[in-house]
Amino acid sequence: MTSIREFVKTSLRFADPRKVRFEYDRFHDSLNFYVDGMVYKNVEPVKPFPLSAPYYVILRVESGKDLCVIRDIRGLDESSRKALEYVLDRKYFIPVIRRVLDITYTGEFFVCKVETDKGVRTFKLRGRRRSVFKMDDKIVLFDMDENIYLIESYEKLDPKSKEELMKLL
Amino acid sequence: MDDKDFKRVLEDGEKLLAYFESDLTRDGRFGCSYLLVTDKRAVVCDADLKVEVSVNLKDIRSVSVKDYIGNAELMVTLKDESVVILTRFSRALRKRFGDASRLLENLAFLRRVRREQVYEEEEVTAKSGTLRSILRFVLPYKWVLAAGMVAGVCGIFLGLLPPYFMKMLIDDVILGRKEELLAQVILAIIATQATSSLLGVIRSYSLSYVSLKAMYSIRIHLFKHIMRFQPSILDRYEAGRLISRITDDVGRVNWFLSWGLEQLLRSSISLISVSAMILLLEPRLSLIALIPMPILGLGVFLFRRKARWVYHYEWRRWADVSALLVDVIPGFPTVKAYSMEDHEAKKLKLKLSDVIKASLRSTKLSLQFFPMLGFVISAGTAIIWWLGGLEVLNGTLTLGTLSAFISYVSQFYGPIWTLVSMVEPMKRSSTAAERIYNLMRMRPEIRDTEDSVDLKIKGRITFENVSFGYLPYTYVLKNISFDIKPGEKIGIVGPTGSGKTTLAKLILRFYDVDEGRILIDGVDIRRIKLRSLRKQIGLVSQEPRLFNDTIANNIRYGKPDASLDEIIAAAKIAAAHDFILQKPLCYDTPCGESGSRLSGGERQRVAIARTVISDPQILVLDEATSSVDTITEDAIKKSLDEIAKGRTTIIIAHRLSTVKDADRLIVIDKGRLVEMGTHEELLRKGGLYAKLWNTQFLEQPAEAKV
Ligand SMILES: Nc1ncnc2c1ncn2[C@@H]1O[C@H](COP(=O)(O)OP(=O)(O)OP(=O)(O)O)[C@@H](O)[C@H]1O
Ligand SMILES: [Mg+2]
Repeated sequence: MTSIREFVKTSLRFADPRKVRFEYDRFHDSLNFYVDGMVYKNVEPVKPFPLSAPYYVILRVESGKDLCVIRDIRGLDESSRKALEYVLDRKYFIPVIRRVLDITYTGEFFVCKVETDKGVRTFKLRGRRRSVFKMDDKIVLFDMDENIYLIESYEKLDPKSKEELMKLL
Repeated sequence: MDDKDFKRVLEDGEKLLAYFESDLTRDGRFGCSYLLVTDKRAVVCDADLKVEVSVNLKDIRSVSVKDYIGNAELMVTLKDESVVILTRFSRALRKRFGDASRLLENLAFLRRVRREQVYEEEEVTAKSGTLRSILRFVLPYKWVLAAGMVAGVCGIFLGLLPPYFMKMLIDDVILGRKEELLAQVILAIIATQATSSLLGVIRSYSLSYVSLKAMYSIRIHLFKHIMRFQPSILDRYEAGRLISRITDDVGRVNWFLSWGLEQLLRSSISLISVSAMILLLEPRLSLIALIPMPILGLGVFLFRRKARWVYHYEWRRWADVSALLVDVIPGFPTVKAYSMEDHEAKKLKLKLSDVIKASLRSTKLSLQFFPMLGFVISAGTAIIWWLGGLEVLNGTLTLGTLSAFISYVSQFYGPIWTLVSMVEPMKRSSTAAERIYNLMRMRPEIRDTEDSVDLKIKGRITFENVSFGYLPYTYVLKNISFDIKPGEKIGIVGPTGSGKTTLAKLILRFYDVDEGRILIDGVDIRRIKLRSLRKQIGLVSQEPRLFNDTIANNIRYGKPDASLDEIIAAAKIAAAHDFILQKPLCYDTPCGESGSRLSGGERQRVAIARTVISDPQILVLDEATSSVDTITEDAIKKSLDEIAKGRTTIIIAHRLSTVKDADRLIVIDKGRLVEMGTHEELLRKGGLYAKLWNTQFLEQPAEAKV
């Protein structure tokens, strides 16, 4: 009998971030992955838990197969991490909301003006049920165009932002 | 009536085993008749114990209950094929006569008799119990409550002062020309007002605090209580009714705790104290103040009698409207698919116009009553002005006393008014409290007993002559016996409605069997701790429900402490990993209300992952891959096979290709086990399985070859 824990070992391969290396190939816009003396060209990094565990990354090869898992990419060396994050940051554009400036309700949708780590932005949200999603202390907002915004910690927001957010929650 | 009375019906040496009282006579009138079951006969007699039918048990071939409209019959077929109708009964007694039929059947076939008779818990209510059960939740906050009450009562007494100051102001300061007192009296009035505002704040806050806390505990308690029940509670109570216990009914009780109780107390106290003030101030005039009282009393009495029906009628109209909405709005896609929007709108219009009619009726009623009340009260006040005015003119009464008196009188009618208008909501909230209390008193039928054991399950499952029915007298499973070895892979097939899902539910003990027993590793499941049993059996049900959470959290539901790696591995087993990575937020993607944002097949795969992550010792898959294409199903089968090694696996499926390579197949038809064996054996046998296989093979050649 295989328990799920054992099945993890047979179905997933784990790479030690200290023993692997990434290189970004600007010419081909591809990410190269060096492990055990081998090089995999054009690997595709995927964050299976982009919000709840943003440092957990699966590397996939072109055929769509999982190559291996890096449990915490913060263990990578400086330049590898930069290369990897360059690709990931383009793929996962999830602005983190620092302050909520204003929320108004038009009777049909909410208009939110926020200050994010990527700049100030105004976007529209359809009702509360479909577009606001709470995960523990995190809040994820899906706007009408399916863009995603993240509030990393509701508790840590300033009082003014919290008060604005109350219109929405 | 006790057993003694039945003696004269019995023959010598005959033993009465049970008797069942019906509410209909055999010729179909309301009345009483009895079915006596003895060790030899079934005897039916009327209310005067005159024997109407008598049947020897050994002549009985079969027993059945026929369900008609508004009533039902218990009948037996005798060995000579003749049919004898034993009793008729209204549907209220279905369960009782279901038991009777089972007892007769058991006796007729000389099987063991279980002499316990389970009657439905009657919904009797003990008023004192209701109040006590609610107050239990208030008790932890008794000091806050007391503070609120004290503040309230003090406020009432303070409220008695201003009219008195007014009297001083008019008689002594203004008419008596004592200017030096003016500032003091005014200050006293202001101080009194300030203090009573403060007391008001304390009172309102502490009472809200207590009622909110109490509501919280009642809701949590109710929720936990409901969660202790077996799933079959949903057969008896619809989900909507349970939800409304927790939300609406608790809210109505809240009205009583946060508002009603206080008003009751305040109004009574102020009524008493104001009466005292009136009497002290001017006993003669107070008699006049009492004149409207009998009229008011009569009015309230008449109003209550009528209002009760009128208001209840109105609430029920509202209930109809919300029932319609609860039914139709989630079924919106169906309405659309059949273009029945107009039809539904028409239904709603009808219901809403009923509401209007009912509301107008209650409005009319209160218009008959409340203006009359108001008139009587103002007439009373006018009379006091008149008589009091005369006395002031005659110099037998001071103007100050008169105006204080008038002001007290208005304080006197205030509480009466409040008490009168509280009658209806009080009634509503006490009914709600009763309903909550009844639910709290219900005990789950399936629960651990003192000798329940924790069992480390190896995976042997034995059914011994198991029979079961959802309704008391219709069998869904009949006399099922089989033995599954640990680690065996069993397929269960059979026509739709044959009882496969029911069988799976019995293994998890969602219901208890009516006859026979189910053993796991040789232990009767009724002796295994429910938690221990259900933790080690993984069920992927036919209509899996996901919760409104992320995919990852839905998978984690099967094992709250699962690591991220395990979540991914479980998803891989269920062939869900790839589709999950296609979602914008991968495993962090919300599934929507009950999984509505995933497709049917995706939902099934997440459900499989949720089950396999918990490492169950016994795995039951009820049509778990029915909505998945055959290629994906094959992938799931392969990986499941790998992890299922050493675990008992039961696979229920219509698609025979899903189960054909099981170690053994069990074929169920109309609740009976009709065939058992391997795919090849059953094909060779040429029975029901072979028939099903051939139909599927001919219809879907591509699939069957897999
Ligand atoms: N909760 C219930 N209350 C009353 N009767 C029920 C209940 N659930 C199922 N039944 C009845 O029991 C019988 C067996 O149902 P069951 O769900 O076990 O069939 P099944 O073999 O799983 O059918 P299918 O292949 O369609 O899933 C059916 O006639 C069904 O109507
Ligand atoms: Mg079924």
